[in-house]
Amino acid sequence: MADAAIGPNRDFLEADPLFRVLKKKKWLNLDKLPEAFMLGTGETGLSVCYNCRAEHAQTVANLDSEGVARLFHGPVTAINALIDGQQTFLTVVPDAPHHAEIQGIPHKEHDNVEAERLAGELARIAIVVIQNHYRRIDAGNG
Amino acid sequence: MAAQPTFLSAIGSVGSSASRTGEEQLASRAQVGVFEIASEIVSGEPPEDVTRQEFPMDFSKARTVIVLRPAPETVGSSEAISQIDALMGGVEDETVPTRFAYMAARAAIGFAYSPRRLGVPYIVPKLWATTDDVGGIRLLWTFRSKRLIANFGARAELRTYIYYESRKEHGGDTLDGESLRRRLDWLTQR
Repeated sequence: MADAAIGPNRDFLEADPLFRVLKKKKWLNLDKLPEAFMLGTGETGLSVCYNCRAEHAQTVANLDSEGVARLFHGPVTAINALIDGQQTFLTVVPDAPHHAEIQGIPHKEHDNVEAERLAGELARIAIVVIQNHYRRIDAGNG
Repeated sequence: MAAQPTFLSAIGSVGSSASRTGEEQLASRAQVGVFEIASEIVSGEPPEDVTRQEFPMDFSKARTVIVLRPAPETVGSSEAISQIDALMGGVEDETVPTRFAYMAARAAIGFAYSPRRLGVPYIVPKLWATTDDVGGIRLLWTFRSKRLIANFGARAELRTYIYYESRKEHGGDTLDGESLRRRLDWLTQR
């Protein structure tokens, strides 16, 4: 996808959709969807795609994946988070024309209760909108 | 016979007229989770969240009456352990767990699901075994609005914990066989 055609990073609107690519097939099940919102090792935020259609999110993320969940910016940033004892809200920080991070979620090694709680909160406002097996395209092959 | 429980099926057949073999079969199936105990037939107004209940009845041939209904998807210890074992064999989308996580998860499940430590019959909703990205094991149960997670760290220095959540509360516990058994009780109680 040509980033230049979409434009630069921009501020979000409340109704902007964010797309979380689902790496595991089991996460398509609502009971297991919270697992999709746990930070991985070394991650500083949850990767989401924006400024794109749900159908393109897997291509934008270019990850082996099984589907896409949709959230909206407004409800995400209305979620209270507790970071090192301080009440705050989740934020969405764009770092590329189609990619942003949901920040404010601790890793389970840092604060397991808050990490699990926030994963549940995000899953409750997420909807699985795409179920599609996608295999990433290696650079040079695509 | 008077001291023996009488099992009623969900459609109302009276166990006291059933054969002993039939009662044993029902009891056995209840223990492995095919049925859960309910009170619809006796009380007329089934408590929505009650999953097991014994109540004395003045039946001529039985002192305790247990009403059974088909349980939600449940598993016993062998099925739970087989899910953990399967991860070690390699499951699609999953990281192969470390031996450290595997041994801890197996030990905790073995203890928590032990029939000696559970009420009989005891219903445990089906668990889902998954892994994190470094080979830790995560066991998940959901039951109605409750969620329970047992997280076994991949290595000794990584966190092993219980997380529980309902509409009213959430929190964490240390994770061992005993605490897991207590939380499984919490999961299935009203």
